[in-house]
Amino acid sequence: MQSKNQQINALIELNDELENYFRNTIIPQLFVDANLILRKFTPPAMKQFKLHHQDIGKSITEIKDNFRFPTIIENIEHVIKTGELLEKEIQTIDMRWYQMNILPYLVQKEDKNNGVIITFVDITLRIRDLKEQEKLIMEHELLLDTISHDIKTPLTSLTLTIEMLKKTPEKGMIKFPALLEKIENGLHKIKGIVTDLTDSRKTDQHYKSVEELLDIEQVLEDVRLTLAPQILESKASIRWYITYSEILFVRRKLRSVLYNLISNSIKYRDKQRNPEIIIKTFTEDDFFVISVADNGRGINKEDTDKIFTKYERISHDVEGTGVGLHLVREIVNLSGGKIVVDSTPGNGTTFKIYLKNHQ
Amino acid sequence: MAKIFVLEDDRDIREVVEWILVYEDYEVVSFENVNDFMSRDIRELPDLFILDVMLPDGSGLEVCNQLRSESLQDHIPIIIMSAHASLEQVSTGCKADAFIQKPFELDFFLNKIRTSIHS
Repeated sequence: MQSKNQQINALIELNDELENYFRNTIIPQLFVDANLILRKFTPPAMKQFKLHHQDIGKSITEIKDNFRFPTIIENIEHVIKTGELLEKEIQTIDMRWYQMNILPYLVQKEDKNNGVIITFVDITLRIRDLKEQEKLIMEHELLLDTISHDIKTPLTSLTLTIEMLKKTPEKGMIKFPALLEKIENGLHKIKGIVTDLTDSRKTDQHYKSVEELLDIEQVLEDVRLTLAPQILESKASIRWYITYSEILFVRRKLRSVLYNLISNSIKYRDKQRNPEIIIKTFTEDDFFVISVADNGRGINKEDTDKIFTKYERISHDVEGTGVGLHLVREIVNLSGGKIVVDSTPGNGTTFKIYLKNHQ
Repeated sequence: MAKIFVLEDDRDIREVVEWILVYEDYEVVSFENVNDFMSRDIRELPDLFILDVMLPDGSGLEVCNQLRSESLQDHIPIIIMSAHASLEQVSTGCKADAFIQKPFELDFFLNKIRTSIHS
């Protein structure tokens, strides 16, 4: 009797361990038995494939559409039949990529497959990164080819002209001015290529930017995460009231604008109180306006122009480079917008960013 | 006096090459694009063609293939000059007698021309 109880306890313990394992697995995982009945799944699997607790005990064929991957049943049957592990990258019909592993579930006593464990690792981002990398490499190769091709043309005329110049004394000097002109042309072309390259690096490559329809709350959330340590340390409260949430802008640039403004609100806080930052959006004429208001130390009237000047710093008790607000103004002005400051020393500052509303 | 047809779009290269060849006592006719080249008097045959690859209105390789397909001039030697990194890639594009990579030295250029014309 005693030993039976012990056996039951041992089984309960094992079951608990298994349950625990499944509950705490961070990747989508399913257990399907030899009769294709779904026996268990992890919470991420539930979320990823929209499974419900009622689905346990159902045949996987009934819920196969949830996996958005047509051949899953065939793959499971194959593993059950052969006992061989199946590993492959799959793309589901909703265009996500997974590394799918189907492992046979071995029952040692009977030495037979009693089903499969299926694991899905989401590799969509990795695949996207790889594709992006591939594209960059291609562009890079193409750029190098173009540059060398473009430079070789003036180099050819330069080489030939100089060699010809060496021969002119024996061949007569009539062509001398024309040859010099060719040398000047060659140099001019090479200079042009170099200018093109440095200019295009400044504008396209380094600041390569694509406008997209942004959800301002998402961007703010990004900024909040980036500033998390400063927010925690300063006990700052940041709230936003977003009435207009969509704006067509370059994500990296808008993030940079908001990051600099919010980061400044925290940096130049009034030491007497915890920083409170309130962000609002509204429209005014043709502009989409974002206001960032704080209860910081404020800016004196005579200093409001200086704050946007590169390397200019008003307060020296706070770390800074004098670049942040300069960058903010550059970004906003270049996009056809403007920036307005309203500040009361000792009370706080409000920055209003006016962005052209293209919608 | 051997006659050479040059097809090259870059004005500086075209003119310098022409001067050099004239100094070397060749008769030279230059063309700056495929269109000009194609509208030349087809009865006038040179002793050598020198073709650039990348042209504003076509490719020197296509021109080369076309020359090779016309019985009247399929025996005339062709030199392809190109600024492409891979000569191999260019040389699979047509059956030319020589390929030279830009930039090239004057003597090398003249040697290629001499061997092409006399072979």
